[in-house]
Amino acid sequence: MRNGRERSMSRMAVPTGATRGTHSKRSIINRTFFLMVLCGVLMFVPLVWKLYDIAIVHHDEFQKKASDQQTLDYPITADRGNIYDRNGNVMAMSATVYNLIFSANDLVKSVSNKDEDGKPLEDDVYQAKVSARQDQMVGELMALFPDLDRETVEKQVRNTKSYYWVVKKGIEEEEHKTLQEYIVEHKSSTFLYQEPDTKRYYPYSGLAAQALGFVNSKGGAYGIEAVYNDVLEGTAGRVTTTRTAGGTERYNAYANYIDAINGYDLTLTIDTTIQSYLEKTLEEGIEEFDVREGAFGIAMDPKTGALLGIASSPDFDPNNYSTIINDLLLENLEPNAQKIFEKLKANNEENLPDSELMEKAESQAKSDALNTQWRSRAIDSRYQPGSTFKALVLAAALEEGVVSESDTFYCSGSVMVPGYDEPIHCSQRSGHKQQTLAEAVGNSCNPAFIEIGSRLGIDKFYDYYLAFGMGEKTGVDLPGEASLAGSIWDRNKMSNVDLAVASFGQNFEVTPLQMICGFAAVINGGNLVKPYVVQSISTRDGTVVQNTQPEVVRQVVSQQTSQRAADILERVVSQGTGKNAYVAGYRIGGKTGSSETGIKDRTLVSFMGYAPADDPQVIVLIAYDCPQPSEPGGKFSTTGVYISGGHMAAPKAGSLIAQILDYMGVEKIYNADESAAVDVSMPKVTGVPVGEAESALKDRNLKFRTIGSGDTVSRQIPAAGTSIPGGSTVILYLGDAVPEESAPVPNVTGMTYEAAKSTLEKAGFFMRASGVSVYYSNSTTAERQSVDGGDVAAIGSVIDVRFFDAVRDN
Amino acid sequence: MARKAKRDLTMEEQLARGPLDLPFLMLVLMLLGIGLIMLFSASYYTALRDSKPPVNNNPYFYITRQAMYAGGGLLGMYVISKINYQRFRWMAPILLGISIVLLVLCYVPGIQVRINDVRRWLKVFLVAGPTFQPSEVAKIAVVLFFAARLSKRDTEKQLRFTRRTNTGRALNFLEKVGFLELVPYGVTLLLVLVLVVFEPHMSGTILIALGAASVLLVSGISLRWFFLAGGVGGLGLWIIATQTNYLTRKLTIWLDPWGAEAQSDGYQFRQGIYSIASGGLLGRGLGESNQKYGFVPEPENDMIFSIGVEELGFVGACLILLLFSLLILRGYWLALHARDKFGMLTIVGIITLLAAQVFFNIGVVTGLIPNTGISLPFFSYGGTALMIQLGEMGIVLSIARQIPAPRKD
Repeated sequence: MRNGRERSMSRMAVPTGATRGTHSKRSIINRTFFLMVLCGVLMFVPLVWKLYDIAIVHHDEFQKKASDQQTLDYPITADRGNIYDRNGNVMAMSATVYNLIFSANDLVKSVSNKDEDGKPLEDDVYQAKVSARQDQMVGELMALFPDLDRETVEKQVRNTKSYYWVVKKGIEEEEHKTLQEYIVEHKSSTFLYQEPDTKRYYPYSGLAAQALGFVNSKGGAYGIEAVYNDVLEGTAGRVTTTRTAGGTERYNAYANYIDAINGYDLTLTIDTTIQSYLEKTLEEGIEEFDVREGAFGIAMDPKTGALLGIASSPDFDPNNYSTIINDLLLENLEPNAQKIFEKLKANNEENLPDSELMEKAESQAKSDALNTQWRSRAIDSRYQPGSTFKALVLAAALEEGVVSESDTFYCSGSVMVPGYDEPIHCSQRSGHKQQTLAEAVGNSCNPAFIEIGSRLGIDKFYDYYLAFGMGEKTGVDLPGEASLAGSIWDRNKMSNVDLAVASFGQNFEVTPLQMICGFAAVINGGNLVKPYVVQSISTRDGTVVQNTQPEVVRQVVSQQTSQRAADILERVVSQGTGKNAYVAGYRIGGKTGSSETGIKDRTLVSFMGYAPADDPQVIVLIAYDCPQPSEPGGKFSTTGVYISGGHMAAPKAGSLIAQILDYMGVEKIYNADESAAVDVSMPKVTGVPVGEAESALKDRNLKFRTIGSGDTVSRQIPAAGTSIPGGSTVILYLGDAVPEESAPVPNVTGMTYEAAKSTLEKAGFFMRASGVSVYYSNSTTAERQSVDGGDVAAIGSVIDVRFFDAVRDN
Repeated sequence: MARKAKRDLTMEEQLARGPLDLPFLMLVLMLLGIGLIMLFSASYYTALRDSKPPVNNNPYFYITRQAMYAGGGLLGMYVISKINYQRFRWMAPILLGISIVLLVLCYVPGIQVRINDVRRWLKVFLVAGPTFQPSEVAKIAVVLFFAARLSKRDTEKQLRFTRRTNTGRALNFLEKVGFLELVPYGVTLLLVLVLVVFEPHMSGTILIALGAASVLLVSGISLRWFFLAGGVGGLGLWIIATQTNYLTRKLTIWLDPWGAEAQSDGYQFRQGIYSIASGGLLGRGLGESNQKYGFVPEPENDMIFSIGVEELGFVGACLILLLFSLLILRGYWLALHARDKFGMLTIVGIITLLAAQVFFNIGVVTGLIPNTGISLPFFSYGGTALMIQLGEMGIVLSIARQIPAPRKD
């Protein structure tokens, strides 16, 4: 009704007296109801649908993205284990250090772009402000670390895209604290901060460097550090937790911590003292003989295979493993780079400019040098063992019964071997003539060993070659044992001539470590042992997890054979070519070697020695590669020493063995001849009758001569209590005779033992001899004296004279 | 002043002493309670990390303030509910006048509180005190003013002009189609909207327009004007959206929040989505949100609902929406039963404003509509806004008091 009236009213062109609104509440209620449904119900439908779509339908997809950004997952580094020598000295350890990081980007952000009133700065004003701050930063950094390259610092500070520049690595605790204070004081923490890092320290620097190896960013890279990396590095822990958007860790129930397991400690068989003796010996020899291609040495317990020391020269400092410290390497760096440069230039396909080629060549030369210094030659290189190998042939022949001590051999200086056109020479061209087996070994006689080798025959020789471990890797727990491929002829291809030269150690190759193990088998009772360098693995608190038991690979020769061979080898040192290794009081056995290398004027001189002969405690192999001949084809080194194992390696090895035995506390036992020369204390004989004095001196194994006349000794040379070698002739002054205060010392170099002794004693001095055994022959001559000839010394002084035996060996 | 005995009261005074509408009150209190709890959870970390004054790393900063304002707001709500709402009729023009003055003050340097070239705020005591948005006051003022005026529509005579002049005939025509009646509303609304939109405050403008429109709609204004205004408004919006970078950008981000265009600007939205998705069906548990740790920017503000979903899950979110829905339905129910047209229109305006805020806020958070920057009533941080909100609830309750109780048989 009403609606109808409304409609009719609205059709009228003229407003009536009607009100603006209607009195009907229906449309109002309808509209309110419409809003009620729209806002109270309908409006929520799309909202709930959207929520359902996101929270339920796309739950997994988005939640993964969310948890990706919320999760903090980082490793906890495990402490790397320490490495100790056999006496518990720390050879390698890890410590926390810090790296200083600079963020150029954050430096810019630290500069406010508003002035003091909080108004934004003009762009150029702001840029100037930033630039000034950067200048200041460069100054600050240069003041902190004057060693930095200013250009680099400028570049890094202005590289505003960079967030991470390592200003300095390996900052230690004390400096770390100072820097931290500096950062706090300068409010620099937003762009300058320190990150913890670990650093490996080798307290003995270069000692046993190649054996230890080193650690780079990826873990153990060389040596024990590499082989035992898994044991040393431990297991990194891990933290999985939620984080804030700022990246900080949130501590809550979801956090999952897996603790790091620290690495195990290693205790080595290496003895730092013996190792240092060994390295010193190598160094001295290199100096004395002008050695050009390095040297290596091994000291081992012959019964267990425990390596007491292993060294190669050139070496390096694992603390700074990428620095070349060896003089020879440094000297050769430039010539080598030049050589590589020329090679590159001749083969320059890419047409690179010279400067670039030179750069390449230099980096190549440097990396070659680095590789050389990191190598452990005693393990990873092969060499021709030369005459040292004769010991093994001897043991094999004795074991097989093809020779005996009573056999004699004749050496004319050379021998013809069927199948070879030219005679094979002995080192002594004139020949050793008739000689017993022991003499043949002592002389290192090649023809004799060709004979012994042929008695063994190819098959037996080969059997023993393999039995002594020459055909297999030793299995030492050090990395890089050289491959033995092609190191010797195949068994079925080996000829008589091959056998002949092999009998004296030529034309095949073994590694030094194989050689020392084989030699040890000859003298230790016949057992080939497996060498090892890690004695035990233990946890940080000292619990031993694994202990290495010496391992006998096989018995090669019998106990008796070993004993017989050892007796013969002992005589090499006491009487033969190894004389120069003799040290009074110690029974040293051994064998010299001078190996051809196939390169002209490059000889590798070596000595394998062990002591004490009756109960070997240590076996030592020392080799010098390429003592420089004074002239092409020359026999003497530039330093005037005859190039051979007997002249070079033997004396070095002898004193090394003596040092080691002294250090190990092995007692010196003198034989009759030796004890005669042992020092005695001069008794007080002044004021006593000559007869009485004579008997007192005789008790001490001293001779005397008198000067002046009378019955009573008035004065004596030397003074009571002075230590002089036994057998010396003392001077007794009778009556008023007065001795001179001092006199010039006569020059005795080049004299034989007896001549030198009497010359010195005549002049009022005493001689203490050293160097070779007491079996002085005519070839033994004085080489050096402690007070040079012509220099004045107090009467009665003891002059040390070192004797030397000019042996002919190879 | 001694309380007058019931028999001395006028009819109106007696009605004003009617009971509070318990369902409406309870819904408000529940939403406020949940809102405060969610605010605490969402704001804790942000406050902890904020070293600037006045927060000073105090994790309780936001919740303490919000709770204080909530307390004040509840008190205000009760006091307002005790006022006989008929008084709002004469208060409305004054309130509108005040709010226009306040809006103008936003443009006065020295008094305005300007943040990033935006002039939405004033201090409560103009030179001191906490800040508030005059547009919040304008919202309720417009609603009250319109309701007060439009409720007299039924008794207002149509204007008559002389039919002899063309002007008179035109005016007569305009009166007949109802245009002249709309002019005062249009002028008032346009003035307020212009003042708000140039602050600039787009979301405030939209809300005020919607509140006013709802009152106009329910008052019985012919629908054609709504279609016309809707058409003009839509066209205007479309022009603005396509011609200004600001809105174009917002639209691009809305249409493809994962695209390259939206890399930095879409960040907030994407983080909100991660939050909602992380909640799943039942949520991580109250206080267990991971996203509030700096991932969702300003989680205590417009994005608070996403944190709520993350912690309470889809189920919890639906419960909150149900509470809002019930509150809105109860609001309209009260409107339908209001004693007079003024009360009805007022409630419709207030409840529609509330509903619009809920829709816009959650619509933005879920990506249903482009970002408008509207806060969620009872949940989002903002003390003065909460107080005004509760005050509006007080007005609803005041009107509800005068609903005659159903006759008991």
